[in-house]
Amino acid sequence: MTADFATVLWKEWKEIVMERSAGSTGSLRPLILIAVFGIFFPLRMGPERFFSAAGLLAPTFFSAIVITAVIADSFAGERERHTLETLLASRLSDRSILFGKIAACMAYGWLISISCILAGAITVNIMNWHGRILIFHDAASWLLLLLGPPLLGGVIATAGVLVSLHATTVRQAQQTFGRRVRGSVDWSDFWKQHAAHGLEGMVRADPPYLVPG
Amino acid sequence: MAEPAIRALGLTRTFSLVRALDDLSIEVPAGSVFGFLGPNGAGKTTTIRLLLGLIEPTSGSAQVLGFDTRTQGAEIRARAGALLEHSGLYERLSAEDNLRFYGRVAHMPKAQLDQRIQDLLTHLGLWDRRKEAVVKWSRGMKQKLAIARPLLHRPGLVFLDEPTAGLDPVAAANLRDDLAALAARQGATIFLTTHNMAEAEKLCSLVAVIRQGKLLAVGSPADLRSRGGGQRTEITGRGFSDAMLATLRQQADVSEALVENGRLVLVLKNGAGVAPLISLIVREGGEVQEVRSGQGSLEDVFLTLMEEEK
Repeated sequence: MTADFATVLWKEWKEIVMERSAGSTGSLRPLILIAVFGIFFPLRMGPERFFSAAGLLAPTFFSAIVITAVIADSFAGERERHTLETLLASRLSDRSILFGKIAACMAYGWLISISCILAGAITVNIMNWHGRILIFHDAASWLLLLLGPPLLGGVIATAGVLVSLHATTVRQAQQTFGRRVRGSVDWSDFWKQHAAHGLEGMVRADPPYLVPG
Repeated sequence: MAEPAIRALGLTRTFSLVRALDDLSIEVPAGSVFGFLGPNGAGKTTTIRLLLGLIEPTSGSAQVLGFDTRTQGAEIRARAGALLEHSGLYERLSAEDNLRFYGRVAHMPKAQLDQRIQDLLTHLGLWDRRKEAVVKWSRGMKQKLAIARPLLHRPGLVFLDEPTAGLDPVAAANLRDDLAALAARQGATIFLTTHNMAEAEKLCSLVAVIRQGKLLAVGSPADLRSRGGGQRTEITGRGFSDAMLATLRQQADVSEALVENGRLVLVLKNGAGVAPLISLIVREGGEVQEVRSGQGSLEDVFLTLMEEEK
């Protein structure tokens, strides 16, 4: 089971990487996300805001959204490209196929999250360099940093795989999943609470925050 | 006597109102190349899906490699290789990665897998392009790779659904040789569906003909030819008029008379003599230069069976 799971994960990861690097518009999406949440926002937010739990919310949430671009392809894409039946005709168990696909999408979202946060940390440090490295300083931030992307990514990946499982085409899976995500998130509230907060931070000039010690 | 690789008994499968497979009973001996012939929609692919345990029969049962298809599908799939209706290749991945994935699925040790990938791709003339994404390949190259995939882990039973579709004549002939060698060398059983009667005739030790889910005939190609094809006579010459064809068709011993590539082709009933017909052709103003007689081909048998069942 573990070997089969790892095999499916390996294949899915390769497919995601190959598709993202094939020069389609999909390959730009993670780069745009890293540029916005890893450079532009941190630059405007300043160290105090960036190195806090609130500062982690946006990259965590939006990189989880990136998963939606790849998750729709998981089963519906295989069905559309006529590879699913061959996969099912192999010795792989249904469980290892399912969990391998979910894990690959989670890993992709987690990687984007970490890339955004890492790029942000580097950007903030460069712009506010005072001889000491700035890092997250409270437990809530570290908890969110470590658990936020896999948890949120896991929920989105699982929901997306289930939608993809029942869709006949990738487009249908994307539309259905998009509708459900939009339906489950109250965007007006989200913007009021988080994005507006972020904008406020962007226009405010924060003093550099130095980690004690 | 050795246990057959496949034994189906009254296998039936319906989809809503359509009976895709109707009371199929066959036995495929271990180590044989079995040809499953039939027109589009005859139930060939459904049969493969049932035998792999991918779908359940509505009624009847089947045992593959000694395992019940209804309850032990996973055991069957672990021991068989299958090229289904579509190639099943991941076109974004390279040829090497496609084979590596299915080799890992089959739990092949890495060193053995590396060697096997190299052997297969070299043999198929694809080794130099193994790192390219499959999407860039021609249809024929993809088909070769698709065939290599189920053979990778040297399974005891291989299902091949139209394996030579899309291959050029040379590649198709090479594949036929490979499959014959595989069956002979490894004792593997090959279950092959095809539209290509010449292929079935060359490759298969046993063939079954299916139409609209019903088994019409089963036996060796020679057996089927002698049973249903009749005698085929080809006459080279001139002056084969429509009136002459009509006269020939009225003769009791003649099943079919037609002109093919300038030659007069007569399909005669078993035991019929050619000489009286030659006299008739000459009397009707035809000029006969050469007469060739032989047993009808498997294609003739197939077409006759299809005609009878209409």
